[in-house]
Amino acid sequence: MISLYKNRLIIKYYQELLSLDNHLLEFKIDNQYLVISGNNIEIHYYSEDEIIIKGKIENIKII
Amino acid sequence: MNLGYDEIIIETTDLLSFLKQANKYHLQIFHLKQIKVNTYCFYVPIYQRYKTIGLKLKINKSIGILHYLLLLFKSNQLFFTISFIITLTIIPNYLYQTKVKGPIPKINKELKTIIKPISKKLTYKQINNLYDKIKNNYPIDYLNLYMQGSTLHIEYTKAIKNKKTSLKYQDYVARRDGIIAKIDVLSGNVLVKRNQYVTKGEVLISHEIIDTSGNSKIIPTKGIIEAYTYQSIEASSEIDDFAYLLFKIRSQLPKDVKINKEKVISYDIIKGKYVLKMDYVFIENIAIREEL
Repeated sequence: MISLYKNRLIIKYYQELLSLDNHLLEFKIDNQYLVISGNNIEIHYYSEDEIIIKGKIENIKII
Repeated sequence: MNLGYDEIIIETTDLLSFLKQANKYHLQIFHLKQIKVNTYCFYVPIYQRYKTIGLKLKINKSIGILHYLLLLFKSNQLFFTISFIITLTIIPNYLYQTKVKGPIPKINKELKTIIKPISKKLTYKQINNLYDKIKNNYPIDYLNLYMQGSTLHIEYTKAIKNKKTSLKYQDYVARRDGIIAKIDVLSGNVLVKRNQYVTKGEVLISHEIIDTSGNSKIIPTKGIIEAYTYQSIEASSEIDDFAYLLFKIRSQLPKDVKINKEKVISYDIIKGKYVLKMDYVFIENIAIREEL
């Protein structure tokens, strides 16, 4: 589940975090791949079932 | 709600692996930031500290109220913490002194020691019992007991014994001649009027009243009747000293009278002595109970 709240991107019930850097984040959700790209991407909150991301998000792709 | 956080700085070339490991431990991570190349900073809730320790992460610093509360229980501050807890919880439950406010020093001294110096605060029942105990053992009229902080306050006033009045039924009669000046009668049948001349032995206040049907009733009597009384006093001396004679006369005057008038009647030499004669008008209570 992906939602936006107060300029933050909330990703819930993700399966796996695949890659992570300042410009790109890749997740596995519902056996699909979620790719988030942008600038200065930071993890605001991280737990086993939820990630909150902040930064300048330019693109969200579901592959 | 998180009440405190531990700040953790890690150096890793593989952040992803670290995050996966944190996931295994169910660790929550807040504000993950890269501060240098391969150096990351993040916050972990204090209540997850055992997981932080399990992951062998080094705590850089801690923030939040929980952190300060935990600091209280560190060994070097334990004494102050215990003192604080004692001050806050145990000490207010005890009474340390008794303050007594009353007019009798002897009772004050005894009441000060009525409660042991350090004793538990009294319940309402105990205060009531203490109230009864003090009331029964001491001559006290008004008593107030209350606790303020760790002090027991006892306030009292001395008992005033009321005089028992017994009713008397004798008549009041004049003890000397005079003209009535003032009538102040609480009870009884007044038989005289103001400016009336009365003679010694005359009934002033009677215990008997007669109603319209001619039946007599006995009533108690009490009162004062003041009258102008007239008295001549003389004094003699072998030396011619008027002032001395005047002093001699004045020293003979009765004490329970008011002098209304004082007049020199004569100052003569009689049989070789100097004689001063004075007339006095007194205002005095002439009503006395008739003896049975």
